[in-house]
Amino acid sequence: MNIQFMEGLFLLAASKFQGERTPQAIVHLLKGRKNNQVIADAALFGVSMLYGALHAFSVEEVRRMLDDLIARGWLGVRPGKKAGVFCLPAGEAALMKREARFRYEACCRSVSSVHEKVRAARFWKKLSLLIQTFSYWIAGETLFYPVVEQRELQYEVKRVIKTYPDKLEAARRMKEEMVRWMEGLAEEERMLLLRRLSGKARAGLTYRQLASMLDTAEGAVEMHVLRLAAEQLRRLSSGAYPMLAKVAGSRSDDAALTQTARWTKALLAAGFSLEEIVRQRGLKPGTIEDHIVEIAIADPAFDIHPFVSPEKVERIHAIVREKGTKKVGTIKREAGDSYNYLEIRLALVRASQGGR
Amino acid sequence: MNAAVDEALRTALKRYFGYEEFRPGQLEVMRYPFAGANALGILATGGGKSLCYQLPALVLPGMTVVVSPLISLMADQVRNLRCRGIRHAEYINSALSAREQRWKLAQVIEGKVKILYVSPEKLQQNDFMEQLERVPVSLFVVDEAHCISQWGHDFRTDYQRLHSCICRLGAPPVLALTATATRAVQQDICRALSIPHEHIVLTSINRENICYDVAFLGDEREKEAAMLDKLRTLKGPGLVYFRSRSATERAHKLAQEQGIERCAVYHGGMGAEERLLIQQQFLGNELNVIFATNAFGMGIDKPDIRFVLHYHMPPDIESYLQEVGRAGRDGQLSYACLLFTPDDHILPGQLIAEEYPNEVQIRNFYDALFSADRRMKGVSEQEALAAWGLEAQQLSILLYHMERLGLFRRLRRTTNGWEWEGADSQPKSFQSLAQIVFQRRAERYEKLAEMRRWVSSSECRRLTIGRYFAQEHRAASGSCCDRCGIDMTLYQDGEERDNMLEEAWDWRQELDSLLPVSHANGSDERYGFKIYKFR
Repeated sequence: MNIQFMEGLFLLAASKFQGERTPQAIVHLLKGRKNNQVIADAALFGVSMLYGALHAFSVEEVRRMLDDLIARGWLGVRPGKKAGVFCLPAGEAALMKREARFRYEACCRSVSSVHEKVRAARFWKKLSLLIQTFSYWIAGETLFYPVVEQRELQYEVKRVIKTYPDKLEAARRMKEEMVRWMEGLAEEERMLLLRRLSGKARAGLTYRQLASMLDTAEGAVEMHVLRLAAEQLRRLSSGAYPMLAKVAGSRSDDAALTQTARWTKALLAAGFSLEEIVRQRGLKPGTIEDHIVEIAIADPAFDIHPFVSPEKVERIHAIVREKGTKKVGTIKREAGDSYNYLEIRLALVRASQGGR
Repeated sequence: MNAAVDEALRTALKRYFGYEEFRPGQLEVMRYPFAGANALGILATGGGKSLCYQLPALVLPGMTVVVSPLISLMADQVRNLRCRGIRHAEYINSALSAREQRWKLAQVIEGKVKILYVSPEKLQQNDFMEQLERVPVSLFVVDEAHCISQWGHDFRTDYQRLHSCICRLGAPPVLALTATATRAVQQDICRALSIPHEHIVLTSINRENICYDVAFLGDEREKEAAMLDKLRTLKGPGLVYFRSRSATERAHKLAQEQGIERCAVYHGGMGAEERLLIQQQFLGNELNVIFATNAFGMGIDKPDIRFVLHYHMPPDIESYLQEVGRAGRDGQLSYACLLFTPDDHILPGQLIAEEYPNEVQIRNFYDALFSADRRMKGVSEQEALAAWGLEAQQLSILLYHMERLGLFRRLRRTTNGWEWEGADSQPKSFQSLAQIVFQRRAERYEKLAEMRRWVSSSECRRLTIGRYFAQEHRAASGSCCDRCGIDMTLYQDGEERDNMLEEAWDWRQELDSLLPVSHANGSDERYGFKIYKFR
């Protein structure tokens, strides 16, 4: 992977954290640590796209890269009990250069949570398999090496295909939707997507091959493919892409929540209150609160108002704007005792998603 | 009864694989499981080894379990089968996510799987075996069976424990298969799997269509030049094997700088999807050359590989033949060349050294296990690495020998390491443990020396390979080897190569080639621009 591209990931994360998170939080983020706090932070600071970007490296390697940037004077660490990492002027300058070349910000804007990122990745994989399947069918072949190996995704694609009795007609409609999608993209974006796809005539290109073709970094290519998939997901509700919408599946189909949070979600949906759930499940209130935050991150349509009033959300958002902080403790001190942590955390989730 | 079985197998051969005739030895091997007997088949790489168990698996009533040492090999085999329309093939190993493993195991329990590939480590896990026991098993296959033998070049301690797994699965007939087995290895396999000696099916390991060349070069620079020269002149497609990932990358960069087109890298450090795409490009002849580590190609069903070059010397003749054997599966003339410089024994020597724990590690581990205050009953791989610097493979070798020496008993794998039970007898000394480990290492060095002797021998390469495996052969369909003389024109490309193609790329054309169906709102607008087409 291109070293400049990787440096940019650290710089961007630090620049977003603005001293409100520790250096280790960057390591967790880029490694993609499976932890609710890491996932919540990613959403809070708008860097969910960076989650797991360096999963192929060891924790030690990622930490070493980070320490290098600190030693180079690009990143600074505030002294104190909870050392906060931030971007120094030299780092900001380096980040600007890398942003111009790799356009991280656009990628970060395309997903508001790790769940959305996972959903985009699954959507793109299923679409790749479906198009490959059609491509072989048109040539009259039903046997081929599928580009997606996960049986579970293969099954979901099969389920979609089964809803279309006329296969050639289905392929034609898929092509129409692809044309509609491509027409709205820049030339380089079309190349990125179409050359990545595999068909009967040829196999798709690897990220590395795409990167050398477009003269960019391997990681950037991968990230922009995900961005384009995520952006397309947002267009599906328009109804202009019925087949792609089927491939994407509904939001709740995606098993992105932890098992235990899914249980809590089911109980909430059945009308149980927070206190009742605590009693019934025999868990601590804090644990159930964690679940509710996790659910709110995963599902932007989840109604947070049973837990925090619209007026309080408004007030918390105002504090975030005025004080420029996303630290729960700071906000609580400012807002006063009538605000509890759950209220603040939920309002923060919605703030980062640009809604209430 | 034989006639009926033969007929069923012949029908299945045509139906599933589209072949009319068996290759030498195949039918003979396959008859044993139908008679309820264990057997060992020794067939040359590229000689149709996998078919020997895949076909019986499809004909026999229950499930067939195939133990295979390499994860990439398993995935390739299953992909090949599914690609032939044989959907009831699956593989389970620890590299899969827990979710994917559970899903696949459920398919197995429901009886939806006919051929199940598993890693030997997986069979050591008790909870996995408990699930597997619920399914009737008709055949137990040990692929790459040389891994069972201490004398083999690729000894795996988990292979030694297969016997108890076979019993737990109701003692189905066992079929062991390998491409390379010396006498000593054959005996080890037979003993470990209760195979009578008269049930060994030995076919000639001579690949008549492969020409063996060795290029003697002064230094690294000469070697690079020789490699590039061969890539320019040889008829492709071809493979170049390396012993390290970084070397594949270096060679790829060099080739690109030299304008050698349509080449790519393949190694275990790449993501699964990326590796799959490279394989598919290679299968579809979109790529001409692959710079690979030995992670590539075990199960690749590409019949027309025309050359295999070795940039680094393999640590033994067995590995060399296995890798070279990927050339010319279609029977057409193919070329193999080992590029050799005088220092080339150093790297494989180092790699062997790294496989085994050193004296200090053995001492410290031994002391920790048997210190008076701390009688350990298990260890995780992570702990072993942190506390004694023991890699997973070193740990498994050490524990294996400790169990054999009676230092403890009932050694078994857990999800992240090992556990065992204390022995009744007084533990043997540290010296005997170190001695046995070092002896094994010395044997591997001896194999390396054997490889070097083969390289420097002035005798016919084919003859000396045969002799190593106690066979007598020298027939060759093209040129034989560098010692007998090679007519290079047989292996070179007569045609001029196309240079870099400059083509207009048009997204509508690209989409048309992916999905060649006409669509309703067919716009004629063409939006093309010049770009170097990737080749």
